[in-house]
Amino acid sequence: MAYVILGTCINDAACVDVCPVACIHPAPAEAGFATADMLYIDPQICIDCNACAEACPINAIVREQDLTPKLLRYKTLNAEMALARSKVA
Amino acid sequence: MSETIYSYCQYCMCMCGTKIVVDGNRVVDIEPDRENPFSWRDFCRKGKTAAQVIDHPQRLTRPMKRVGDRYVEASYEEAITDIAARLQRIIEQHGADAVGSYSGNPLGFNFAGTMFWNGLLDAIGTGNRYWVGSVDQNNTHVVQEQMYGTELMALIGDVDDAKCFLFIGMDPAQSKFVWMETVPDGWNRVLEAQRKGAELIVVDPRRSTTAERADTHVAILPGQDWAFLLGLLHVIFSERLECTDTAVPLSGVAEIRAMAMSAPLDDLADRCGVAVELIRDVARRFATAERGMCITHTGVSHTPTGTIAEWLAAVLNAVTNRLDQPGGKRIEPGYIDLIAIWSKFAPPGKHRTRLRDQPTVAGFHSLAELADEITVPGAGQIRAMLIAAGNPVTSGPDGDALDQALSQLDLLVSIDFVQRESHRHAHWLIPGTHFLEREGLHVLFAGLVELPFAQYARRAVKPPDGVMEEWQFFTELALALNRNLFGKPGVNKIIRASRWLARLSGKPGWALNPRWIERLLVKSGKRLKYDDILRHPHGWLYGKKEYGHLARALRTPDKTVHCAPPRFLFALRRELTEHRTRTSAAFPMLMVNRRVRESMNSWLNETPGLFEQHRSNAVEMHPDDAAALGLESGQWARVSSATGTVELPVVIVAGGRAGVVAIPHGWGSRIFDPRAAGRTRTFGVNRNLLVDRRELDPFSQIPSLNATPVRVEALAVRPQHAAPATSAVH
Amino acid sequence: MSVPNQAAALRVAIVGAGPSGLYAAVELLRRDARATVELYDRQPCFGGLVRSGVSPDHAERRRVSAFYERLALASGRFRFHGNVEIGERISHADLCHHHDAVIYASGLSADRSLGIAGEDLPGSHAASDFVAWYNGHPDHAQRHYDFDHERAVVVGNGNVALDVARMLLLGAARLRHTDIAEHALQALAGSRIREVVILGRRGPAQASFTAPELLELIEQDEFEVVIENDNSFQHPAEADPGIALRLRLFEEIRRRPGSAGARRLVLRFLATPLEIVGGERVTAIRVADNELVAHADGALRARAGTSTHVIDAGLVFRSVGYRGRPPAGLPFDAATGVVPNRAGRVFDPRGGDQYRGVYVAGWLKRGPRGVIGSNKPCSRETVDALLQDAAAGKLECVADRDALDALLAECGADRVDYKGWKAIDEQERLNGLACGRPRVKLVEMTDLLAAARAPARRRAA
Repeated sequence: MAYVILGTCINDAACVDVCPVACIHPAPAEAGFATADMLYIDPQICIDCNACAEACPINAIVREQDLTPKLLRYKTLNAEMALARSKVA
Repeated sequence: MSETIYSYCQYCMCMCGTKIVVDGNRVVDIEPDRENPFSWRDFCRKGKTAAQVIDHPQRLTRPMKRVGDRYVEASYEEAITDIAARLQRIIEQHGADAVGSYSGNPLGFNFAGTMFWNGLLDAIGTGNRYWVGSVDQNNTHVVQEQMYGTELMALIGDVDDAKCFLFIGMDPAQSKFVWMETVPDGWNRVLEAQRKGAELIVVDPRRSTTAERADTHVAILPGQDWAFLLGLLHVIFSERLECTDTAVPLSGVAEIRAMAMSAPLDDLADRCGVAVELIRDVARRFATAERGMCITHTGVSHTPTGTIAEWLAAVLNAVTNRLDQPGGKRIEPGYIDLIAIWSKFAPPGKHRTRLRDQPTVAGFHSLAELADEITVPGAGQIRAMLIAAGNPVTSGPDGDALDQALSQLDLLVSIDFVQRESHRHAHWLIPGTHFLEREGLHVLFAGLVELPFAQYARRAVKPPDGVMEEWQFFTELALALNRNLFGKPGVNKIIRASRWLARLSGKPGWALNPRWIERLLVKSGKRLKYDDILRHPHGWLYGKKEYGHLARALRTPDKTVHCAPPRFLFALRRELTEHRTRTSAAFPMLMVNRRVRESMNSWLNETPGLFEQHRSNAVEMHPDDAAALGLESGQWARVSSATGTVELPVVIVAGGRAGVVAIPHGWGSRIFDPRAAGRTRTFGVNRNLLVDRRELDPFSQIPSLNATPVRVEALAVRPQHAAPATSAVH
Repeated sequence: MSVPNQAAALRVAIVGAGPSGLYAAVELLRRDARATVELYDRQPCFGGLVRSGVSPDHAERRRVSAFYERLALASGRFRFHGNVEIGERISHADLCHHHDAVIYASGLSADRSLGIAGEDLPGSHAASDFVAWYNGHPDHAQRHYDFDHERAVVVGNGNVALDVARMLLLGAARLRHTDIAEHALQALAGSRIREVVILGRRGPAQASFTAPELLELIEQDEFEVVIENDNSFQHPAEADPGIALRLRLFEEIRRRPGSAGARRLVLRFLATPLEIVGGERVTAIRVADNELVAHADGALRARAGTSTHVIDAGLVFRSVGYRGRPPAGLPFDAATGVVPNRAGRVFDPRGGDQYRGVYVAGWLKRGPRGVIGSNKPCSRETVDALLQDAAAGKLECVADRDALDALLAECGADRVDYKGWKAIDEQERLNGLACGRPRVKLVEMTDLLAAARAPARRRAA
């Protein structure tokens, strides 16, 4: 299980600062932050600790289990973006 | 050349497996060790930033000796010689009890340190031993002793199979389910069980993160958990919802039934501020759930009736057959006989305090008594203090009184990482070590964890050059005092002989060290081999979860769980006949504590990588209370009690009980720089200054850190003297 | 407890209470434990474009402003001075005189023009003005838009173009649940618009719509989405994962089943506007079909082809970017559209000298790019520069706090402090509560100021 960033994300990156496992990308120090559409959580790395959800100023991060059907799409979106990044890296 | 070391985080009982990347003697990164078969999913920023604590700018790396208003560096030899000579003088003139001691939470995670600390105190022969448990967990020890016949009967929540969770005074979303138990990933597993249909009932005056998730949130009046719990028992017994055929034999059920039935439900409801119907509803849901558990944590223990409430919660579990049942509470036998060994580490001492004639709990006296034991003159007055990894001025009640007391000592020695609030008046500052710098097997943890699990903690980096580990220092001090370590004749001779042999043979391991004792203890358990544990760098899950151990583990003479210990019945009857309101016109509100995941009591808050936003505590208020005072979030308030006053920013939090304010503890402890007098760092304020050191739970001797009567006033402007809320070097 | 420090605490003016100003304030307060921040805004409200730019159906994003407001406030070293326009009663020189440093974070508000005929016709508007109007910005509340034609055209391929299109297409039933300005809600309730065409000069791969906005088009069921002039086949194997993702989302949009009779959004690519057509007012827009040509640097650029089309429309919105009006007293680079700066330090583009104590952050510093959070590292960099300069002794404040308070007092009773803003905020929420909406914004300056001055009322239960 993992947390998921929703499309309302504004790239504030407060979540990046608190993540204990650095699974949120792109971090402000990483390439691609300036042009990123939104940030995403790598579900393979996420440890479900909830720190990001607490830190998010606009409540744009939710537990995977709590996604409404309409938002389920963001689960795959986060995973896809994570996968794309790992392929580039 | 970087190297990877597997160990586990030793800040809290989550025991998250860690993967530590080290380059030379420097930690490059710490990550959760996903190969650890037991725990890593609770990994948090505390573990992530552990290496920043090693590099603490104010860290002590040499013994420091007070000279006038300053500190100067000294050698260990000088330190040990001087401390031993002064202790010796005090003991000779005033007796061993004139040497007091206090140990804090971090020492508990340092098994070698704990063993040799006790060894040193036994060498000195003092009965004046104080510890952090007396502001935290002592109620559990008292209840366990009365009900199960041993002070340590760690009952662990079996969360996956539960159908009903009744959490009282706990916030596992923040605490990650740890207190006197370790359930790895416990909070997420509770949520998972809830998703599959389990009910989550949370009793907490505040709208905690956990309460947010609850199916039912009971915003109870602080300090009245006992009345709520007795109400539940009243309903359960009245409606015959109890189990008459429990897995673990019970005694005293008739007595507690009579007591519960005789208490009028509307009176109990009135006392705890929870509607009769809600009490009935919770009672029925809990009792009729197929499997379930009631868990009480510090929200309960920190109240004047924390022991009574802890007992009633245990009775609730017992009579609904939640003990040693799937989805209830069970014990993990571990690989050593924990109950036997615990009684060696925390012997049921005969020592009583001089002034209030109080017994020990789990081998130690209550921190709340320490200030008076130092200041009130007379035979047996404490004149010297050793403080190991402790910060009692901040952790305990009425820190101002203790600070005053510590300033009067003939000798104050602290053994810690940095010079903290409680070490302000220290004559000697002895450097401590960090868990990243130590190794060892914490055999006591074997019985506090959910599953049969063992892991040897590995050292990631060496302590700074020349810094002794705590156990080494304690040993040297006992040798210098010429008093046998552990108080056992001949031990010092064995130490000297073993050292001589080690030198002669060129094998340092031959000199007495904590591994000897760890090996002996593992061997005594006859279940595992020490070397096999060493062979599992990620930790070793050596068995499966089992039930059926509790009945055998009982140490009561009749091998039953005592549901109605006379002392508790008596106290409960008295509580029922008195009707005390904690609030008054002068102090109309009640203060409670709260958990903050990044905070570890008073000793990590200044770590740069923790607290990205607010590096401070604040007073959380109900919107109605704030509105009545014209307070907005971000404004400042003065919170006063009969004992003290603090000023701090306000945060308005809806959803909790009006009339209750929450302030997290552990803040406002200064960090001193002994090399630069006058330079201190502080974050937040110490809310325990509001807590009376004389109002104690009569059994646990825990002060009322919760349900503290207070008054809140709006401050027109932010106080000038206040420590800045975000960061401060001044 | 504290030992008084000899050096005076830093006092910094920040102009603009939008995201970059707030980020700068919080960063400064966090990094320097003694610094004080005086935050100025020409509006009596917090938020800047978070309040008046973020689309009403994305109101969750507005929370960011309140979040950082609270952080700034918690420091106890922060004051807000709303409804104070720098250059009027307080000049740039006044600010410099009364603070150690000034950070301009006042953003860019003017729109870029298309530079084609008919752009000044009634019915041709800047998207930025329209956005400010439906968000209830007091400067734009009096505007008027005619929604009596069935089609509107939006020129531009960024998120603002999509915001405009959604507002035109969502319908009053949906908009009623947002914090859209009351006047806009009423005007849009009578709208006859059935179709919005968004024009882009290049193709989907070059469009600046972000993935979440595209996903939103897929997830919504208020209107149909049609893609015209698709050249995605030119990008069979896009290497950039971000673009590849967007192309996949376009593909999903394309496959989305249509719904007959519904309103529709047309994403028309490869089209350059040539002329806005009309006599008294806009009646159509003439566009040229483009093709994409690879240049030597590998970039694909649009080249106008020979065929042209006329699209009937009653409204044309241009959404091709923002431009700056430089704050009075600051240099400005017309070519790049920003205040010349090095890591936030304003300098004279001719002599190269640093303007002592003057900094920029946000769009004024780096141009109109990025999302809300892009301003955070930007403001951090500026604060870094400022603190370095402070440490190097390059900053000084001539006047003391009393002098500043005297200057502020000269602004008169119309100045709105933080309590005033909270009173506005509360009034707007209460107004919303009365009619089942999250908030009804006050759009007239007189109403805003009256609310700011109203005595604090008890919070609604």
